[in-house]
Amino acid sequence: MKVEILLVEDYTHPIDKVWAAITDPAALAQWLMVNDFEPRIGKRFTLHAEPTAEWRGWMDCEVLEMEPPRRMVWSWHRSELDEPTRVEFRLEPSAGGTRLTLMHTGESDPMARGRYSSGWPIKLSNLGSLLAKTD
Amino acid sequence: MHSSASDGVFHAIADPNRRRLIDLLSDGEKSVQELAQGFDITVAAISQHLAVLLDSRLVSRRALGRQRLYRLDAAPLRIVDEWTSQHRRFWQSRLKRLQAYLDKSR
Repeated sequence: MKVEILLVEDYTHPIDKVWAAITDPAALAQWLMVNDFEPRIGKRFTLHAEPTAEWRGWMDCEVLEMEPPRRMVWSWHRSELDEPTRVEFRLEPSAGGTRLTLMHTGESDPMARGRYSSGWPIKLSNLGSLLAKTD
Repeated sequence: MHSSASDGVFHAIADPNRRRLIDLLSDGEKSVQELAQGFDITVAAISQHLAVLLDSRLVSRRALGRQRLYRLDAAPLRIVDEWTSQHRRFWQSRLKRLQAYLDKSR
């Protein structure tokens, strides 16, 4: 069975700007992870973070679908031992700017689940320090 | 947790009728007849779904007179919640950073 996360965020910025922020490697590095992303279907890329005791430190990803400026789908593979998961970004213009819908869909494979449950390397990065560093 | 136990939970909640039963039981103990009122499917079919839920230990059963009452035990659902809560926290933090990125590059 699939397990899905669905998050909806409203941004007070035009859709083209939000699209750029999720498809530009330099922008992705600022808010997601260090990467070698390229905005084209079929591009295999990695997202790097600090390794942890239970995680090698990078995601293997691939651009599966891309419909500028509204929709992008990635495969998201945490390690060789885990089932690949799927991340989908959807953008739509809203009254105040842009609505982003993020869906992360995973398999219920118990092996993978065991590792996921042992902890994502969540860097709850201090927003303030990020801003201070880049201003 | 043994993977067989967690498989049972995921199998149990994979079916929409069983999810509906879980919803109904979240209000409290109910008999098959009470549960059947909320469904178009037969009592026999509901009993089969309840059997799956009993196997997964999401639901327990006790006898009260001639009735059998079903009760929800939501604890096994935690393993489903783990996957989602880990990823949800990750993406929530990243989308906040996206917000900050967008705001400063205005």
